[in-house]
Amino acid sequence: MRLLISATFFLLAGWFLMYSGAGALPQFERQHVDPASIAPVPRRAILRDPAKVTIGGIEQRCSACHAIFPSTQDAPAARLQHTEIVLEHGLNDRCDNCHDKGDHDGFVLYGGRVVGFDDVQLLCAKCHGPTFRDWERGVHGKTLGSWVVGSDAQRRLLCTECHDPHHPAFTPYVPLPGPHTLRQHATERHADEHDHEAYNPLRHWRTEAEDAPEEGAH
Amino acid sequence: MSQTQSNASRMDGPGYSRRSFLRNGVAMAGGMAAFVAALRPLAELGEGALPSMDEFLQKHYKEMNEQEMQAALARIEAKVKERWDVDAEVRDVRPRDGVEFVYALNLSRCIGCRKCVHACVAENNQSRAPEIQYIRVLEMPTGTLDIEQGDHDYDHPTVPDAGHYYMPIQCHQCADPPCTKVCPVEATWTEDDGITVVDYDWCIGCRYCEAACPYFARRFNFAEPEIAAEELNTQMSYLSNRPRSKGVMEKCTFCLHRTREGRQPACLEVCPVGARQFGNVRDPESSVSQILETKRVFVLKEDVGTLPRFFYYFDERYPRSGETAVEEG
Repeated sequence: MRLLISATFFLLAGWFLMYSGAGALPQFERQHVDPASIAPVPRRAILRDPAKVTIGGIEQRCSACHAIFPSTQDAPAARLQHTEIVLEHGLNDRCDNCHDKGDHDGFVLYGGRVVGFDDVQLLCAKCHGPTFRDWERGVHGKTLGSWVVGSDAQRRLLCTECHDPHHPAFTPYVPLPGPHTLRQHATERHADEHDHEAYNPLRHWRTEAEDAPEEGAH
Repeated sequence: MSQTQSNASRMDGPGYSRRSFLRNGVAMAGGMAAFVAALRPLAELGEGALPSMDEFLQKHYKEMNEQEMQAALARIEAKVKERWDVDAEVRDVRPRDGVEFVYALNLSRCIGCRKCVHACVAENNQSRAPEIQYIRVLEMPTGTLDIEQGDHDYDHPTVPDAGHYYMPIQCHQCADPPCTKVCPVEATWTEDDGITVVDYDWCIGCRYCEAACPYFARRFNFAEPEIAAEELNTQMSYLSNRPRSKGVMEKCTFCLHRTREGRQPACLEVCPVGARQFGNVRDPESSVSQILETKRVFVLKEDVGTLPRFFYYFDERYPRSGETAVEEG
């Protein structure tokens, strides 16, 4: 009995001696995120009043050119200018549906009223009523600067600062890196699709991954 | 050992026999070695790992007077200067009167790009390796709200992925938070504007709050946080984004150093689709009040009774030209 106790004691003492001390924490590679991809800026830079575009190297008011060149009312395929515009706005595929035929510096509302580029939301509201209603309430859209209602710092983005009016569907995004902590390791589902070891933060603690049975997803 | 000793003395009279002396001697040496080995981590603590006397005697956040707070802030600034050689401005930003913050997130809009996750990391000086992220974006199969089916490790080449919607989860700033109730040292509490905060200098790192949170919103610093000097956000506040140390909990604070001064949270400003809305729920004109009034809103895990200040909502969605209506059922 005494032999057993002393043997246990020495074994324990030896084990403490060998294996205590600060264990090495796993080292992680840093995830690199381009700071430009998380800059708090509107998605799009838009034209404001007075709207000017550069064509042939000359910056001009829209009306300046269109005083000389009449705009086409045909299908968009017939365009000779503004060829960079990809027009995919559903059934709305005529320039004059939005741009005023007479005053090329503005948009046409129902009844022939013309608004400038700064009030583009009134144009969109012609068709997107519920969304416009939400936007007016602050429920749809994005507000930069301040949450304080009526504050000078508050800047409500206009429709076109997020949506391309000619191509309103959002282009897909490349997702930024996912979770990267000890507990948030990859779920089992990925084991079928990818190399699970590449995801598992606990891999640093293993000497031979083959010998260690895979733990559950949680 | 007393058994051994008494046996030895019974057999060998008052003195020590050679055998018992050796045995006890080796046992003592082994015991001492084990003791020293157990204490070895203390010797491996680097310079600055132990708090200075001022830090050690620093009071709880709520008990500090103006002078003590200024001294504490100056100490933090000095530590930042020493560690990163960066001039930081550390402040103590207090809640505004008549303000209760609420967050609303539009599930119809979120595309799962994770920009909010990384804007948050950059704003709040989280550790980069291992990276601590307050926001977790769940990719959910369309047609279910069962978060067990969510996946936060998705890595499609582009998002949104067909057949999925995305549900970001961060601290819900509950009105009845389980996390603050379990804290044994009152290092975490809910402020007057509804934000649950942590005094990082008071936290003992027991992680009870992490276990209590039904939203997995709290994060623990298992390792010494690693941030590059050029990545450090120098606009800091005591209760939010000042540098943390190893062994303390941290969590989303709705960017209180920004929002208590009227600014928007970092995750909202970076959102490319406007899925996030933030504001004062006591102001009926605020966007969040309007959302609660006019939208279909739900909270996550309503059944656990935490009364979150974080709401999810939907848009009505009518079929567009060329689309067929989604079948009900």
